[in-house]
Amino acid sequence: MRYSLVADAYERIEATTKRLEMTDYLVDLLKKTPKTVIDKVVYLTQGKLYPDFIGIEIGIAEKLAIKAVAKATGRSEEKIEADLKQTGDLGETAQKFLENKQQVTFFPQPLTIERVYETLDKIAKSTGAGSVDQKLNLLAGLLADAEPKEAKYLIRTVTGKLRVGIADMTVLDALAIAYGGGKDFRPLFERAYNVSSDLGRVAKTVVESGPEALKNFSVSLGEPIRPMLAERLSSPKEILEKLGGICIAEYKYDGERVQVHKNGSEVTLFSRRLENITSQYPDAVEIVKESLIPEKVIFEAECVAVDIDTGEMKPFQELMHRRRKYGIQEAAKENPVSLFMFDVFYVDGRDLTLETYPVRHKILQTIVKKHDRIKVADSVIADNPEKLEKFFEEAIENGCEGLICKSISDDSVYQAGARGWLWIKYKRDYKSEMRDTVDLVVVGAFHGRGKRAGTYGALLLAAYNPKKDTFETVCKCGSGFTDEDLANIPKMMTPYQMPHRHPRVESKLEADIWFEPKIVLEIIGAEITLSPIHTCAENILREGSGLAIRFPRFTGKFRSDKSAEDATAVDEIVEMYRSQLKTIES
Amino acid sequence: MKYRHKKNGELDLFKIRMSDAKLLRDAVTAISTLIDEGTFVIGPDGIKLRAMDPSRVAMVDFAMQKTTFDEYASDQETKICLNLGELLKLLKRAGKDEAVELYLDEGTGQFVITIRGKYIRTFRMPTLEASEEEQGLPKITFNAKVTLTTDGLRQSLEDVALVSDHVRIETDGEKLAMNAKGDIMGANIELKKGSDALLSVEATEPSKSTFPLSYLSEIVKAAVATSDIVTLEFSNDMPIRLDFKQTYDGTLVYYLAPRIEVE
Repeated sequence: MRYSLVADAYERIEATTKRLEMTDYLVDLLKKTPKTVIDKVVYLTQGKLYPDFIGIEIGIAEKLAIKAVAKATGRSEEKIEADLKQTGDLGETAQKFLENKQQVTFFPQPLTIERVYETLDKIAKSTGAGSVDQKLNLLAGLLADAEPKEAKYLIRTVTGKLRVGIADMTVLDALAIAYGGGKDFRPLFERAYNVSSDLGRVAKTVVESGPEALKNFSVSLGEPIRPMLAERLSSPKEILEKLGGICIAEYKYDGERVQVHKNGSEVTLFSRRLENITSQYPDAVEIVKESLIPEKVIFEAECVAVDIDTGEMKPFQELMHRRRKYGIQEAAKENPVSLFMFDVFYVDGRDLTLETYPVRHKILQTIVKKHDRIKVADSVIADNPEKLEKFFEEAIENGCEGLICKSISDDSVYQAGARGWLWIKYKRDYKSEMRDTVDLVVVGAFHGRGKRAGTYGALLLAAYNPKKDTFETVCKCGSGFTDEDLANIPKMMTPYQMPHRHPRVESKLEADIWFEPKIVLEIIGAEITLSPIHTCAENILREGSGLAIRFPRFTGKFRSDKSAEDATAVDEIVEMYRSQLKTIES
Repeated sequence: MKYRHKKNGELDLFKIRMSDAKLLRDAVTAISTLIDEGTFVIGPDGIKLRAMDPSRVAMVDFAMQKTTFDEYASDQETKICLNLGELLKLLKRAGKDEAVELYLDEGTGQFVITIRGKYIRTFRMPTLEASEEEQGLPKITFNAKVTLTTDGLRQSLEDVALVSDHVRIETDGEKLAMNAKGDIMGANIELKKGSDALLSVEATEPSKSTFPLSYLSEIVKAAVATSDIVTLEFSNDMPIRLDFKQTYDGTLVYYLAPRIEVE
């Protein structure tokens, strides 16, 4: 099959603004495509060579593409660069220069799909010393034989800017029309695609074995399924109404969504966009190997940066340090992650995607051993808005983004690849950023574990309420302490230790150790947030809620100049909350 | 030759020995300037390779007769496709006057290179899938034929490369001229009959063609180690043929496609 047929189709598709016409052109192309190469044509229409999860990208830098155009046309790089400045599209520039080619070639051969695909594949897989030259030569070779129009789309393909606008759903439509008996059959195609994430394989199967064969597509290890997505609402009442009055509400952790495939000792992680990201998280791979009970299992989890010593979650930005190609082991040490599991769709040969969520949720609890760094996401069954709101505030205070509220109805299957009302996310509309430090009183402590065994894992801190002459808790803080601090603080605190909570301390949390309010520390946090756990300013902003500091951190300053009653007052924290309250852009 | 026998008594496909590895190394250097992977045809009479560069602008036609080797045994034709960059790295390990032996390990499909000198080194490298397609040569009637020293050609090209990235080669049967025009500079080089560098020149009609220096310079630079004399054949706006006379019994010929001059 000639590549020019594909280029012609791109040109037509690109020119239309009507989705139906777009589909028609794609149907034409797919009908003309021989069975043997239909998967290749489908991948190419997406600007790809393989499904995303294979992780092979063509990836040619614009600079190198310019060199290839220069080589194939016999024109100088400077002239090409100058023209590129005008057009802003190297594909268009290549087309123009191919029309005025100055370099003659031997035995020109028209480009076939096979040759284009094989050559691009070679380019994608070429690595190591000399690979840049090899990529250049291979691409120049294609361009030398390309028609100007073909060159335009080749260049756009290799530089990752095909931008013809053929979405995966358009391909499914076109396949259903061309080979599946019409658009009505699309759900069959869609399901096959959603569980395999492989448009090429769907196309190949349907042309070789007919649409019936698509029914054999099922969840399989090593092939990520397309993730189910959630709708969004911003009031607990609306959420519960949508979900029939009751739901399983889960923490929406602020991390990276991963799909984990475990096949014996082989563990693969896929990102939300279904790229293979196994190599980025060697620690997560180990955790999965240590803790998952089934031999073969596919589950979804949120991968979150945590402080190993305190078990506290860290802000999302910390996780971004893990997005790297080099120094992965060091990054894993500096910014370790924990996994919070929130769905499962395959266990030892059994496809669970058509089970209801309560069934999947129950199975989820049984497949993982007790482990410090992996667990099922915190959840409650919520059947009234107040309960949902409380749980939401708790989630925010603990460093989560909000909640995912999941339907427990009979049709609460895993809808791969779909955004629907079975899952509803509840995120904040406002947040109150914290700009200044506060001085808080140490009123209690929690035992440490791991590296902090024998000392405190976190301190319970309070603000002073002069009206009531009480100390109201506002956060648990385990970050910002140096090893020296950790050694000294217990010595410093022992004289003030008490067998029970001090009568002037208001706390809903039960600390492991209680102190007389004496020592004042300077603390900085990311935000101030409503909290069902802390007593600071309770019932002032909202009935049943107090205020808490999110992501609190010790600045290193002991305010020995301040007495406990000189600590930041509750009213000041209320004022800080009010003055910084802003709408969250989303 | 006893070493051709494998343990089971069958003959190896081929076994080749060259007492000075330099010849082979220079030949591979010359070929690898155009191509990354090449298919050598190892036949009863010697080794051949014919290939086009990936951009289809230049071709190389190489042959080394069996008489060039100290020992040469191959009853049939065997195609061996190799990564030339890797091959060259290994051949470069052979010092002066060290011998090199080549054979194919059919069991593993690996190409085996043994260097015998002060001590024995054996390298193995994978063979790649050889293309079945036989590369044809362009059929061209040449109007001009010029023989000159390879070094003279190399120097002339270095001169014109200072001002442009392509060169017009022309002759009227009396002299060879090389002209280059850059955006702001120009260069003209003339080699006249009787000059040291020009050995002979003949033309049935005045001929001129323009060629990209990115190829031409690289070809000449790569071939200069193998050859003192080169014969150029060309016509008007047609490919040029460069025949580098080898010191051994063999050929090293390149074809290079012209540029179209847009005035």
